[in-house]
Amino acid sequence: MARLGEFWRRMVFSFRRSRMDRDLAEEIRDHLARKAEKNAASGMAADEARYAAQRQLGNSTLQQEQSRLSWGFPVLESLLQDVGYGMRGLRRAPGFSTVATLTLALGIGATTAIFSIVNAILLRPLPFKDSERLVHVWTKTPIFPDVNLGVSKPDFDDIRSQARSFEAMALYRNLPMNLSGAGEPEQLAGAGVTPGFLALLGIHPQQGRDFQADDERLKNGNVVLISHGLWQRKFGGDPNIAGRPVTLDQKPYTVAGVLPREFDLGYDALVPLTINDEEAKTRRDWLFSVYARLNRGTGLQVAQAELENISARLSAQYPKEDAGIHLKASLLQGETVENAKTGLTVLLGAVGFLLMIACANVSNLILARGTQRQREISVRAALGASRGRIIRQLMVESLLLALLGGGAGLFIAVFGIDGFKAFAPAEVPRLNELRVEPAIAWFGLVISSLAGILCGLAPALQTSRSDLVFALKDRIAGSVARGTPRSFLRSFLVVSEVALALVLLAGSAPHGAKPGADASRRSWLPHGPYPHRGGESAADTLLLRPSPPDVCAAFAG
Amino acid sequence: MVRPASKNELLPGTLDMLILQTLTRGAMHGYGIAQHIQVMSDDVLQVEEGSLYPALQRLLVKGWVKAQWGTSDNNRRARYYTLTASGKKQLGTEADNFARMIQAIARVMQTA
Repeated sequence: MARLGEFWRRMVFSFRRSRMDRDLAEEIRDHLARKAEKNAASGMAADEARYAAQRQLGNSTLQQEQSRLSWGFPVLESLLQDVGYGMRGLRRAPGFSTVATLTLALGIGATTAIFSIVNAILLRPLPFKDSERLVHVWTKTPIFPDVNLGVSKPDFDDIRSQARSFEAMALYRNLPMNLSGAGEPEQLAGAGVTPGFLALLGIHPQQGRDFQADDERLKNGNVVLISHGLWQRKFGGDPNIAGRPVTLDQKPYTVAGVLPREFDLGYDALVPLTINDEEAKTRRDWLFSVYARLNRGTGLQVAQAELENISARLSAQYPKEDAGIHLKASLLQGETVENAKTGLTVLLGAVGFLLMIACANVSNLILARGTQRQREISVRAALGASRGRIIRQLMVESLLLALLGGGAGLFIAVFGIDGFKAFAPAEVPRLNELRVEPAIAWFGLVISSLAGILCGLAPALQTSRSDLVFALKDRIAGSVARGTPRSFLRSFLVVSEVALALVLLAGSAPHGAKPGADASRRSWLPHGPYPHRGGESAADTLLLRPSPPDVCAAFAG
Repeated sequence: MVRPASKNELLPGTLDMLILQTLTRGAMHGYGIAQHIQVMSDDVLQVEEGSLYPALQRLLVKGWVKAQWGTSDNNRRARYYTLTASGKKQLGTEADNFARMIQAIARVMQTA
């Protein structure tokens, strides 16, 4: 309470400063007058009495100064002074300020952009309900020990009836589909899923309805759920899309609904999973991917142990098909980002180096400017500024630079993020979740402050350590001529810059892409009527270059 | 600071306490406070007048005293300081601490 009261009074006093000042001055005048009267009463001459009073009171200007310190927030106020002074200084040296700001902006911008990507892809949880409980279930067989195979339908039925660790399980299978009849034909990344699939992930269509139990028996004809992206891209965000007919693989489908925007497993279309009789009974066809949701409080290890037991039982029960299989569970979160992880970490490291190079550059600039400012700083020191105060002043200046750079860097980051979205390979997961959010701005702020401290500290320590007498002498030489420590610092900065640049160069080499390798893409064509025999299989094996839809259209037409 | 007539420095921080104690007699202006301290201590304690006004500002900010302009005996404007409730409380604490300190010092001086 007392603290709060004091804070309040300081606020009030700092607003009433001029009145407080007048009161104090008048009070001191009154004091002097009374004292002079007393002195006069004890027999001094009038002049003598006044001088004596003044002497006894001492330096009244100093006392007013000291009194003022009690009124406001002296630390804050002197900091504001430093900021103002720093801004004027930067404005006086526009060339220096611009170059330093831009350099830092590049470093901070790149780092922030990459961090926002890392944040979206690696750090944020998947956009599903309780995503930490979602797992994939795989089969490992002795024949392909290094490959995660799917699960066969008969095995899946056994797991579902025996496993107690999972609250729900669903099957899906990748099913590329060709969409035609709505503008340009397009190859869709699609999947066939069991009706519980969306519920398992905790997703509800934002429009229309989820799959129902009898959808897979085609009671309602063929139905499809489309992604938000496809809905926007192909159907212009039609609000009455549910129930509209579309053509997939040249068969009529009805749009059942639209998936919410946050939903991204890389699929544009989901259809009910259809399993033919052959697939339904062949234990060796590890065709289906399995999503499962762990019971609340069940750990991955528990589920894994249970799956091992089931694997052993299946191996014993069906030695012909399932001998030696191991069922594995892996967390969806880890697996979705696993592939992107290495690349992004390397990228983050690289921009980190870039930022350090930028800092070293700016540090060098500040140091060079410090040499020019030697006299100014010596004068401040001679007028009574302590070394700490001068260091603070210089640090405030470099922090100002860094924050300016950070502000410009945020713009660069925003453009960088858009650029990354446009050019990133399609395999990068969760791209649609990438956006600029408050966390990014905070990161930018923290990084800027760190950069400011990093590039300002060494020059500040160096510049503030000046030899007063030597520097004040009216000679340009100052402490530079014999300033070995300073030239050492400069050499150190240059050496570290070269080292950092070298690391960056070496690090980028192995990640160079082979030209053309990424431009091709495998494409599937539906079964259907083709003018030439064999056209289908020929197209099936064809590696299509730059624009698959066009060539598809050429073939199909 | 309060300085005894001899060169010996008094304990730091006692000026605040002396001012607060003086104000228990009623409202007083700065000059009056200085005179009172000097007179009551038989001229042993002379308030270094330069420290008085910064100290008063400090006490104002702490909320231990209040200041108000008024008219003094010979019809002159003067700024009068009065003790607040929290100032009284503060005086109590400081006086207790001071007494304890003095006793402790005295005890050491007697035994040694």
